[in-house]
Amino acid sequence: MDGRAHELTRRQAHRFATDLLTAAQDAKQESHTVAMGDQGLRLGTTRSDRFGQLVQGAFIAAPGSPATARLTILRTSDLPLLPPADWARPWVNAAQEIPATVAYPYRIFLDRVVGVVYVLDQRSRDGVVWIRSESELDLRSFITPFRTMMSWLANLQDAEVVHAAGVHVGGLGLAFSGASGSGKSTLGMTLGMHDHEVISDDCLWVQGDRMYAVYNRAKVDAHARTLLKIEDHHLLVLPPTPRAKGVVELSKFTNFRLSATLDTLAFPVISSRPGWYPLATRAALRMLSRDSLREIHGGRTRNHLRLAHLAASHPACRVLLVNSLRANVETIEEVVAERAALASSTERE
Amino acid sequence: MWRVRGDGVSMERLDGETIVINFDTGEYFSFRGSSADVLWLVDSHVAPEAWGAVLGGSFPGLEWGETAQSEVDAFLEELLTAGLIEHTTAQGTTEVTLPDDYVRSEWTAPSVHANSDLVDLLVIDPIHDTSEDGWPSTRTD
Repeated sequence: MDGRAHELTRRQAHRFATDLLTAAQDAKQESHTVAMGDQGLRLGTTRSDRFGQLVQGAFIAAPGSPATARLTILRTSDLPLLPPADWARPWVNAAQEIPATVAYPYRIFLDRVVGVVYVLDQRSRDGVVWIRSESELDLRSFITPFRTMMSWLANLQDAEVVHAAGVHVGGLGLAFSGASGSGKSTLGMTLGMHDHEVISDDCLWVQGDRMYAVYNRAKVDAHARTLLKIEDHHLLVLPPTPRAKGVVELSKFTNFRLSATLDTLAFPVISSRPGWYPLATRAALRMLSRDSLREIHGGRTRNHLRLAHLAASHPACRVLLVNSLRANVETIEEVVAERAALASSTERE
Repeated sequence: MWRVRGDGVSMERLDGETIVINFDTGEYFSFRGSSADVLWLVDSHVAPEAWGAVLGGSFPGLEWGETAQSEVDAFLEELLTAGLIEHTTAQGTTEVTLPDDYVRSEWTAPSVHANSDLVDLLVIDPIHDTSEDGWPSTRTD
C-alpha cells in the first residue's frame, strides 16, 4: 500500500471506530463495575434480558473499584448496520486485527466467523463489542469473544491476559497453562475442592507479580462434571446442551479467591503416571506463547515481550496428570513443597 | 525512503512509547519522544521531504534545519544497523499528522538503545519456531 492509499485507509478506519463508539455512548445502558485486575471496568449492556444477564454474570462484580475503562456490548437490535467497512476487507478476509499503522490510536478487529466486532479507543479507554447475532454466538461461548477485548484492556495497564487456570496452594500462586483438553481447568477446580483456593478457570490477568481472576464462569465437560461431582455440589449454573459444555460459577466455590502472587508456571499434560519435572525457560515460553497468543490472534509486540518477561522471572514445570484426583492434588502439593523448600534455603543463604 | 522491516521485526506504539522487538537478534527497544515519532513517520510511509514540516510543526521551538536533519539521519542509520528498518522505493504520502498520544516538549535528538537481557528467549529458533515454509517464516500457532 503506498503512502496516499495508506492515509485514506487510516481515515476510513478512524471513522469506523468513532462511529461505533458514538453509537455505544448514545445507547441506553445498564452498567455495572466489574473486576479488571486491581481496577474496575464499567460494563454496559443495553438490555437486562437473558443475554445481558449472562454477559454481566460472566464477570466478577466489583462495585467498590474505581472504573478506569468502559466497555459497551451492542447487538444488532441496538445497531442493525455497521458503519462502512470495505476498507477493512484484506484484514477481515485474513481474520486479522486491523494493523496499528492503520488503526492507532484505536484497536479494531472484525471477526467475520463469529460475527463480532471489537473497537477500543486506547486514549479514553472506551471499548465496544458489537455482536451480530446472539443465536450464532452460543450463550455459553461468550467468554472466548471477550478474550480479545480483555487482552486489549490489559495492554493499557501493562498487564497480560494469560490462557491459564489460577490456584493458590500452600501460600503459593500457580498458573496452569495449556490448550483445551490438557486438564488445567479440571486440575484447578479439583484443587479448589481439596482445601486449596481457586482463582480462575482458563483466563488469568497477570499484572506485575500478581494474578487476578477475569471471569466468574468456568466451562466443564461431561468427564470433569462426573469426576468433580459438580452436580452434587450445586455448582452448575448453566446445564450442558448438545452444542455447549455446562458452566459453573467460580465464586460459588467456598475457596474462591480474587487474586494471588504468581509464583510458578505449570504446564499440565495427561499422562500414564503422576509426577512433575522442571522446565527450561525457553520451553516454558514456547508453551505459554502458543497457548496464550493463539487466543488473541497472535498478539502484538507488548504481548510477546510481557510473556518473555513472565517466563524469565518465574520457575516453570511440567505436571503429569492421571485419572485420579487425589494423585493430581498430591503432585501439585509436591511442587509447592519443593518451591517452598527452595525459597526457604535461598532465604537462609 | 525507509520502511520498518516486515519479517522478524514487531513494533507497537502506545501512549507515545514505541516498543520494537527484533526477533532475528533477540534485542528489544523502547522509543519515546522524537525517536518514537520518527519511527511513526517511517511506519506510516511518510515521504522524507515532508518530515521537517511535520516534526517542526509538532515540537515547540523546533526550527527544522541541518542540525535536526543530521540527527534524524544518524538515527535512521542506527535503526538500519539494528536491523529494524530497510530502504524502499515505494511512494510516500505527505498528508500526515503525528499521533496526539503524549505531550510534546522540547526536541531532543532521537536515539537507539537496545535491551539484550531477553535475547535467549526472543530470538527465533530456526528449528522449533519456524513454519513449514522454513526460515525465516515464523509459526503462527
